[in-house]
Amino acid sequence: MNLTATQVLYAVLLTALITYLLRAVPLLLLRKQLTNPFLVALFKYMPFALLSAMIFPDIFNSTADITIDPATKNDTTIPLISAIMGFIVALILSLKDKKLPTVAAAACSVAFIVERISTLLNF
Amino acid sequence: MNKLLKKGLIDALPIFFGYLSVGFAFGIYALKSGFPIWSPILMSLTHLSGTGQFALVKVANTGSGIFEICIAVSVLNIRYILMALAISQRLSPSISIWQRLMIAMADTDEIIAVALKSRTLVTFSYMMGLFLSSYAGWNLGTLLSALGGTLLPQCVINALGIALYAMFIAIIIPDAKRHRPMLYCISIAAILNIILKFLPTDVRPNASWSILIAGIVAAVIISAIYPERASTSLEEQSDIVPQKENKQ
Repeated sequence: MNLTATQVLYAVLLTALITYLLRAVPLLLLRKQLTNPFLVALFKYMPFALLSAMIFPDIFNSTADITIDPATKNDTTIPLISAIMGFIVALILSLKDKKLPTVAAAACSVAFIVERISTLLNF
Repeated sequence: MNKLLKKGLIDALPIFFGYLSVGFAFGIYALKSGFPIWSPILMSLTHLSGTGQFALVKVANTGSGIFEICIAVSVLNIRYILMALAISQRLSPSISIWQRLMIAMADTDEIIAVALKSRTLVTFSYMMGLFLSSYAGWNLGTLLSALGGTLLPQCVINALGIALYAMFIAIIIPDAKRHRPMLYCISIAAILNIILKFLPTDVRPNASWSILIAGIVAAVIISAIYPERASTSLEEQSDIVPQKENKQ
């Protein structure tokens, strides 16, 4: 990083503006319900497809220790036992139609417990 | 307090905790990269965007200038256009232009996903509820990292790292269970992204591009095979009638 403090300030504010425009312009331009069957389906499936791609395979190292190297949070491919167990619990509860906070809390708790146990056992 | 606002605040609790963890990770990353202590806080206050903020720091780390940073952030955040288009189809007709301008601040993958999970048209109050919880978590996480991150033990922060992913699973799995094309759609997206991730490094797109490519390809394929008639049956979100998702 070789930006001065002023350059950092400009970079932050400019990118904030760009990000906001990317979010606001489509909301202002598309104000009515679409009727084209392909587009209706596309806007229905698109968010789910993107979410699915975000989950797999990144979830399997989502409990990595970010203080060691936070940049690896999205880049490494080494699965962690705590993340795998958390994933399995989340999958089972989701199949049973449990609500979002329940699934998230259960997955975090399981990941936490498994991580503690594996630390104790010195994996 | 407005009931829908309150419902939004509560529905976004998983986002609050997930963002706490990712916001914290972001702060640590920015500070480790040599950014001044106020900058990750300002970024989180003005962006509310995981990919964008990480990209800003990452590109700055390579020695690039402001122009390259702006290009990288714009390209990586193209996904927000898609998310905004998706939620535009679910906004209550009573929402005014200036309310749309405020809802735009809430256009993150996580918030839109939770909003789409409600089977109704969404109201302004509900979107603001989701936004306020999420915004609080994101900024609190970043603030904690700037303060040295001693308020929450590291093992707790690490475990919270799975919160958003678990929430995504809880969003996509119930739909996939009931609706065959949705199952195909999320399977194609997941498999494509995994394939892209394991390509040799010289041809592999970066993580954000992989997600965009995998998501768009899967959604286009499924929409071409299973087009849908516009649904006219969406009810207005109401604070009197209990929401369908509460009955689960």
